[in-house]
Amino acid sequence: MPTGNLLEVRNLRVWFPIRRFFREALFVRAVDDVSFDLRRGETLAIVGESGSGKTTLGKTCLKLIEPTSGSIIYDGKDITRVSNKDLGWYRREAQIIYQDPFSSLNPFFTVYKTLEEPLIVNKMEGDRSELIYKALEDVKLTPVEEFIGKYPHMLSGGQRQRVAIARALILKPRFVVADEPVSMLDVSVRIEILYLLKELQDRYGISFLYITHDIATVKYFSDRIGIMYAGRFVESGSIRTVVSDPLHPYTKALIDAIPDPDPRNRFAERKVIPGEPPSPINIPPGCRFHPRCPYAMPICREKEPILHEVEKNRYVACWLYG
Amino acid sequence: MEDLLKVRDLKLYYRTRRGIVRAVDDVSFDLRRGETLAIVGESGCGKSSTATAIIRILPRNIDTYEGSIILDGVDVMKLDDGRFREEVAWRRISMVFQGAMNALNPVMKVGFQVAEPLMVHSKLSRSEALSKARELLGLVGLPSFVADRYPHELSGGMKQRVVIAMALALNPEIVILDEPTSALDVITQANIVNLLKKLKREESLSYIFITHDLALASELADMIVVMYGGKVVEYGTAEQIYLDPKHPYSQKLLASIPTLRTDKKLEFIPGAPPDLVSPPPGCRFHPRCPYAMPICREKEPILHEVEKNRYVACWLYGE
Amino acid sequence: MSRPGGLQDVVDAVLRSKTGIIGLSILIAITVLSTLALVYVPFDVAREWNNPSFWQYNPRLALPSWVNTFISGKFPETIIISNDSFRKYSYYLDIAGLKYCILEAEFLYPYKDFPSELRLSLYVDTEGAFVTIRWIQPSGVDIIIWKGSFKQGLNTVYISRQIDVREYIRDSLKRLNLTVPSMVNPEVILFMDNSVAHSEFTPVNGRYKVRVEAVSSDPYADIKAELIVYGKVYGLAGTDDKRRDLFVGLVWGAPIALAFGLLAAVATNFIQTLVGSLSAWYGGLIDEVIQRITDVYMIIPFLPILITISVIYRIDIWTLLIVVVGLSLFGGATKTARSMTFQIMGEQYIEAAISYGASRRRILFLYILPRLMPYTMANIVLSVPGYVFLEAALSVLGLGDPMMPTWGKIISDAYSGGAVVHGLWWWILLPSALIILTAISFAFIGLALDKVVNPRLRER
Repeated sequence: MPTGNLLEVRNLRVWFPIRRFFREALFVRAVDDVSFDLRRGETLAIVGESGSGKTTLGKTCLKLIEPTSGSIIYDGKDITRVSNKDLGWYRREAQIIYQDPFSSLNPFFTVYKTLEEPLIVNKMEGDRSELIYKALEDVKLTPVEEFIGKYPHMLSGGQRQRVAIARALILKPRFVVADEPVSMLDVSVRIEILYLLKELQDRYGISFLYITHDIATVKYFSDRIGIMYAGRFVESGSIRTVVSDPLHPYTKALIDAIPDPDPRNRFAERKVIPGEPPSPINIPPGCRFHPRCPYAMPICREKEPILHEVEKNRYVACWLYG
Repeated sequence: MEDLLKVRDLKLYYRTRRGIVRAVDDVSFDLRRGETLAIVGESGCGKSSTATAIIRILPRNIDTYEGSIILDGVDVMKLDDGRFREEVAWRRISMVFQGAMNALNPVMKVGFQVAEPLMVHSKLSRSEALSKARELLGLVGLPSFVADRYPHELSGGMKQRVVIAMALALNPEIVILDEPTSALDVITQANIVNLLKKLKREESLSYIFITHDLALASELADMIVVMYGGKVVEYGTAEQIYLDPKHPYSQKLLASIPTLRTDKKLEFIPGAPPDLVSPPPGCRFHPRCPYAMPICREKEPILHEVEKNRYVACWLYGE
Repeated sequence: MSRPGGLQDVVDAVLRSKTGIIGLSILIAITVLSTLALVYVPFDVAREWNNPSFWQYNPRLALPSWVNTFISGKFPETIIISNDSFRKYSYYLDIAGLKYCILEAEFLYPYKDFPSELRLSLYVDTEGAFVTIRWIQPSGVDIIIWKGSFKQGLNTVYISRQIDVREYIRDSLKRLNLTVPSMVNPEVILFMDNSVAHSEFTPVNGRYKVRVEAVSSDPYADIKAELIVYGKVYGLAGTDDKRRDLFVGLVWGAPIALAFGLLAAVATNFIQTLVGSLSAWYGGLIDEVIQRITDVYMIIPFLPILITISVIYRIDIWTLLIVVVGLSLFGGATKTARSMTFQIMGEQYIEAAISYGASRRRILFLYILPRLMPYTMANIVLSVPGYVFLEAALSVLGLGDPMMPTWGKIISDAYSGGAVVHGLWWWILLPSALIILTAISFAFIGLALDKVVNPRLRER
């Protein structure tokens, strides 16, 4: 497999203006200076709570949302300013899997039609029927005949998500953004879908951006991880190191918040940081996390820490680490 | 601790174009005062239907609704709708519905929405109800100004607290919580769970907690009911279920929980939940069970006591 | 297999509700009526609607014949005595050089009420003849009703209307020393017992004879006669003042009403929905422009403009249809389709389609418009009555198509024919009832459809 970066994102900003007639312009700073690389065949997990900007980041990488500034370079080509009508080729290579398995499928299309549409639109060569059957087999919806004629409301959540995955993969993309693909599924089904994604990645060499708020799942389907808070990365590195030895207080808080099936949990309060992520309109000065941080120091209130390398391939943005 | 609520042989079937859906098929359990009972299972196993059956919010196409719901010694199933609504619903048993935070009235201030059940049921005047509403919002950890906000101005966690405040409006004894944290981020979820623990202590509540997330259930549950295909397959204390699950489904549920603590490979349950219109013959779980025996395909196992206060419905454990 | 909100749901909703079934049955009945039109009353009959001679054997302003089942004194039906029923004697008198032709017919009159009209047609096959017409009552009273010469060809004696006939009858009665009632029409006098003065008139039942005596100098002279004793009832729907069988008009009015209503409803709703959806989907300037145009359209007073156009230009029904559609290109459905499209645009599968490269046009026509179809269908059904009424209203005002036998035209003719003043209830009530029934049927079906269309939208 050729090495090298499939995707290079530098200083990406996505700001949405809110029009106020009588006050100065306010912006929703959804993504606020994000940089990362995505290598071929690897999965980068973007972990954060809602409002962290992770979904916006994913969609912007696919040019479904226009970036405000920064650059997006895919396979050596700068696509930051390219308009939608010239991105037909990109729409074949890069796909998305959505969080809600119901609203991401057209309720008026059968499974067959849902999978056929991308093929028709992109004028794919080859027997469409064959490609559709293969895609359904890949996601293990077998026997295929049982599923091709069904409408989304006849399928379970897990089955629908498989259809969504099949739709994303039928064009043989090289880059897939998986936006919370298992968050709306039952816990018992999540692992099945994640293993499926891993299997498909190994087989086809696809690069994934796995966006999630559930840090417990990243172990099963990611190579590297980036923790996002209020539009920025606060920590990144390989899965092993970040999860076993989290540096940033927010990362620690996320890990602490995960419930374990331990019957003793009910006798004690879970250790958790208070409050909620800031609104992207009103970002706190200094370190964005300082209002909730148990280790906040005076400098955190004034100056914003920069994401810097503390070990090899390990980055943190926190005054605790200089 | 005495039994506050005894549910026996609860049945809820409803009619659809394809046939009769046996959403709740002979469900029985006890809830003792001050305890939390968790009902866990996959989507479509009937756990939400069990909750709505208890609080009697029934769909229009109901076919069968029977069994006994004995609240403090009185079978409230037998009460007619009017009396049930006056005496039981929201007063003694209230509910936080799945996705309720998204069902808040978008054009009404949050304070009014919390005050409404007070005005309707307790016949309080508007100002009295509003001030009690502010009290309730404080109880769930929300500052007073929230009462003057509209739902869209609040975050997910705050909205969920509002809904919990509404459920507590009339000082119920039992609160049914149907997936109260499913749409929330993990930190917010932990905060809400802590709130629920606090409220339980301070307001002497008993919970029926419904979720598909076994790990989450462990935060609150004293007793656990595992449901599958409309039936109870296992029932016991939290210690028993988490440390020594007997039914293969319970075991698989536990084994499928993503965790950072250990490195073992997770298991998942192949296949899909059963069709409640025509469930598989015999044991409903047998098509997905790794230990299925011939008898499982033919006869449905009965929920029976295998140890003291421990019930399983599985042929692995005899009759 | 059914999709949510798809055709299956629509059909189910109609069939499952009471209003739906009632509406549908009425509509089916009307459609059956329309097909009856084609079978029972073929087009060449309907084509003669404006041709008076086609209807000449029908009585004028006759009631529907089923009225007789409710009334004890039965209304008479038309008796036609054709030439074949006349016995003919002819002989030629050499000495005088005259040909005598005598036609005599006999008929039984059993009714308790007088006929509405009498008419005798004579066809004289010679240069001229001198004709005497006699009317012989069952009692034997022989009344000369006309005397005079006829030219060659068709001659018609309007017994009921001609003043000279009246004079002849009066003279005859006087000579026979019978009472001559004043202010009474010949069709009454000829059937009445004139030996005494009556305050009330009832016809005498029995065998009546009509005798035509013609004298001509042409030895080959021949004469044919036809007598029509017009009744007071006819057919299933009666007749109008031009003797037209109203059943033909009503039956043929059905497909015209349905066609007009449906075509107008379908065209306007489809166009409005498409425009509204386009407006939302392409947004920006297009959206602004379309919204302003729609606002203007909705302010324009529809009916007054339509009336103005109809007054200035004599328009036929199909031009009317085009004008109506033209005045309804933008309307309420535009706004609703627009907001529904906005709702759908927010759904993820639309964004997903963009992500796999579907063009905007494809998404509009394949993804968005099908979602709007149930709503459009319900709207179509609900707007049909409006258009049916519109066409009828224009016709009643005299502004519709003058040639077609539409229900509105029949009502219009009824008004100008004095139906209200003279109490000719069937002429107005029957077409009105049909218009109302049609409107009700569509309204009921539309009501039933409403249940499908609205909750679906709310859920999504």
